[in-house]
Amino acid sequence: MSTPASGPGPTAALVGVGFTPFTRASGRSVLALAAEAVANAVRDAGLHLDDVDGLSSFMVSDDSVPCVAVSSALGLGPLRTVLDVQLGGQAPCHLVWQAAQSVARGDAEVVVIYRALNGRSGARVGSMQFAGMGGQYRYPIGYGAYLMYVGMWAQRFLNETGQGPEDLGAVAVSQRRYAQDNERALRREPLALDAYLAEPFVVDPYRRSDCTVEVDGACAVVVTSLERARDLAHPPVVVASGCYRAGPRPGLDIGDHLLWEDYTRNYTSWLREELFGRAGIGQGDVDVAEIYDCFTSTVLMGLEGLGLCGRGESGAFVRSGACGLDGRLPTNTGGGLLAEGYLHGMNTVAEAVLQVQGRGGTRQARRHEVAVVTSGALMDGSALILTADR
Amino acid sequence: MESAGRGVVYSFVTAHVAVSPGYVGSLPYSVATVELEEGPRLLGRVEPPSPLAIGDRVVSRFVDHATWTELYFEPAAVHPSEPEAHP
Repeated sequence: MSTPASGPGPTAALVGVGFTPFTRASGRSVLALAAEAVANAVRDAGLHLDDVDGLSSFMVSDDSVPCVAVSSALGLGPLRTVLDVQLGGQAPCHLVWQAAQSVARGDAEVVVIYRALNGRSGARVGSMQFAGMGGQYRYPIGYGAYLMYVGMWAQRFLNETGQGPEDLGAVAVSQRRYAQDNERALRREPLALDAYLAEPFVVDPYRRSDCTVEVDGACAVVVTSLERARDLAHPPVVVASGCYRAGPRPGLDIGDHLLWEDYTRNYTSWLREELFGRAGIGQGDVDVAEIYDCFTSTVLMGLEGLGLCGRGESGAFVRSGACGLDGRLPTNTGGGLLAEGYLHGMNTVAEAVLQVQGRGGTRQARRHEVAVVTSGALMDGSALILTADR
Repeated sequence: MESAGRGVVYSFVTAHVAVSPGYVGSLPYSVATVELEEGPRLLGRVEPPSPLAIGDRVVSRFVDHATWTELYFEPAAVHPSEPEAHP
């Protein structure tokens, strides 16, 4: 099912990133956070608010604000495209790819994708109850938190691939090291494997450091044409390939995995051929990986699912130091959602942009021509391949 | 489809911290994805919550609460109607 590169080639690029501070209690409206991150991203790109003609965002159970609200708050001109989607962490790469397609079609010239939420002081997705039919068999028995659903997969994944606590811990340790070089990160204190293993379980197989840290904040990225990108503030980050996939029987909501056949393979296994095939890039060409990490296990599953390492070999890969700054594949270089904070993967995309642009500062990967990014943990999700302008 | 209520643990989690205040009293507890002998999978608590491992054989039990009936699982070996325990 590989899709060969065809047509005129990539025509869109990511050109800027914007953030608010990440905090545990912003004391501000979600709209104010969204507007600030969008304005910061536009400024970072070397563009003006008047240039923006597209907005795109996602929310879980109305925890954010729609695109028209952000347009109104910022006094933007006419919008030629918007997307407000009801998705969680599956969305960021998907929305960037949709924005790139909009730009390629000429539907819009400058599209800003944002995620904004008071994810710590407001509605917390980690323990949110979802509307619809899916929850009726889960909530009464105390199976009602996102870490339990992902943990259910992790337990099977570790068992079937012959991996264990040291493999999960290696992810937490590796990413915490990066967070020391990231001023935005909420968890910046060093973490050693012994200390990780001494932490009590929250929900077995997860300890505290296996879990993302919920935050208040916002993050935005800007997509425009590659041609226009070449005249802006930073080197263009070419959107070489994007892909969304929901595998068969993806459930009634993001916590309903009962009809999913194989808990050891998530959406990354289902999209990798198309993702890499479209870009004409092989796994061995990837310099930097930013793998969605609401929990440590999704990094291991993502590395294996994308074919960046072999089945059952991801833990040893991380333990070898391969994912560190001096390793073969620097991974989650901002500390990830585990340490930087749970912006539902919008910040995962932003970190990839910074890396490809060479703006990673003391956490900059030496080789940064090709990055792979993922969004999502279980049945469905999306991914991007980003490259330097070559 | 009818099921005899026997199956194996496909995967499980064990909660040591309550996901919401209503579950504090039952900590720690385990929830398993159980693959029934007939094929389909079900979610249910497993009593006792430990020791528990993937591949464990379990049998279904029912308990009536005030407004609903709960399906849960027990280890097959300690259940009197389990054939393997009484060959």
